[in-house]
Amino acid sequence: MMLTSVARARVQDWWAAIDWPQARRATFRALRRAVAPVGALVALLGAWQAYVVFNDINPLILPAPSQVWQDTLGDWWQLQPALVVTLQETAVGFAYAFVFGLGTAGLLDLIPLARRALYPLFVASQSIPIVALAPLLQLWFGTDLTAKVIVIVLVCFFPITVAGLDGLRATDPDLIRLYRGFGASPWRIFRAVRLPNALPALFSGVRIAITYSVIGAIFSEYVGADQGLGVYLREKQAAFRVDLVIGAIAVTALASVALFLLTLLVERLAIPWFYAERRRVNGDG
Amino acid sequence: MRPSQSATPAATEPPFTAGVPPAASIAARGISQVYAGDDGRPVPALDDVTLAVAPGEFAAIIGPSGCGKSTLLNILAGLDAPTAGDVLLDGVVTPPRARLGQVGLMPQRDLLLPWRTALGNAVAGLEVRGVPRGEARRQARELFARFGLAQFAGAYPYALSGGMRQRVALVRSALAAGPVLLLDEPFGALDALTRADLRHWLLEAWQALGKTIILVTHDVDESLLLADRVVVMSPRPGQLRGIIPVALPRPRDLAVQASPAFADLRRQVLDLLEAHP
Repeated sequence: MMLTSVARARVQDWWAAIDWPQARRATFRALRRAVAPVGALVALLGAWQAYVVFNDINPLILPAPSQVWQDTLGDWWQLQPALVVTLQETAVGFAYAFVFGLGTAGLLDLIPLARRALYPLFVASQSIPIVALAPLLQLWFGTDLTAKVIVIVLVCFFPITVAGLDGLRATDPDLIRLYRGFGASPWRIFRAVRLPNALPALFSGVRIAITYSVIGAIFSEYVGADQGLGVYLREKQAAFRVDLVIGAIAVTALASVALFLLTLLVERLAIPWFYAERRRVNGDG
Repeated sequence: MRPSQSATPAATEPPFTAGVPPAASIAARGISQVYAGDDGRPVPALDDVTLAVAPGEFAAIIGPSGCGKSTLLNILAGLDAPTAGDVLLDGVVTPPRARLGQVGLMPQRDLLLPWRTALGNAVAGLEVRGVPRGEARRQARELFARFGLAQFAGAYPYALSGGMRQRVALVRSALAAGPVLLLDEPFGALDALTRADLRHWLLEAWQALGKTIILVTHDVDESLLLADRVVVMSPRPGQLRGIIPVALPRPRDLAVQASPAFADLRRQVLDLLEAHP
């Protein structure tokens, strides 16, 4: 009951502080900013289409975008369930990576010995070619979710750990002293001061990690699975369906961008104070 | 030592922090502090400082930059341990740890948490002390209402002016502190008008809360306008040059500030500050 009243007070504070006209302006600004990249993409696709049409390229080697679109739509009944499976794996894998990344950041921050002992190992883990490791994981854990989650965690925990650790360590020492003056324990200081202080940096890491996680999921399927985008890609490649391979790649890219934008939205809602402070300093949004 | 008018509101109002006596005496006995310098050689910052402040007294410490005023406050607050000497709280020698949460220190920077509202910031110290959230918020609301902050309770720090932020920080320190509140140049970063405004406000808060206050400042007039006694320190290593009682009537308005008595006190403080050993 106590907890719910605390939660309610937090949510009320948060809701009351939303500046709606500002939120509307920010949305319009974001849409305006999207015009240029979308225009560039359209130009690129146009050039591709023109190249294929005017040079009469064999569609088995390089299909035109219009053909990719048609064929992918035609094969959507196969592609769509594969996409759903991959996104589910991505979600589970990313959740594990987030918990693991944040946990290691906290551990490395609180225990200097752990930082000295483990940080180099984490750096080294990033140089492991996943291509080499994934078949081994499959051998050890089979084709169920465990091996896939391990691959995804390996691919995307690192940005979260590094960003989280940087954010935790960048806490204003005067703020920590202030809390020490209140008689606060190290754990209280971590919870009340350092963790919230690390959130903006942490979100930068999450933005990178979430796009990696899709790649990680597809890769883990590519090596060994019976459904998902990785399996779909492998099968279509074996059948020399260049059109469907390109279509699946485009769908993957779109899914990554969508997840990235979702992270941005969550970030805006979770740390409005950070953006408000930045607006005040920069005089813009 | 305390002006008579302050006794009335303090007596009629209930105490804000239950279980904590409204005021206590604090004393430094033979405090010395030596730092290790960059070249490894010891750098003395404070040399044998002895000072006693009575319960409910408002003392000001004044001295040139780098004389160890802040070092002394950090030791009194229990954040640093002195090289030599003791700190007594209500006449009892206390280890530094025991003073954390008992002797509050308000730094020059407001240090508000940007992710909390003004009210959320004000209750930070109470929260650490384990006061239930509802009760902490009630106490903070009461002080907000009393000190003209009520309409800003729900505002986030980025929306507040420098003066307002400092007020919120002061409410936070007042709520967090037990019986003693140390202020380390709390108005140093503000413009002159806001400073004057906050001075009145601080006096009001002191009289309402009945805490023992030690204020560090480098502004002679500020020390004379606020304090019962002005403690003058020497350049580094900081030593006590002298203590000047300020027997001026309160409220100390412009007329008092223009009086010959005020000019005489100012002269005394400046003489002590500029004296060569």
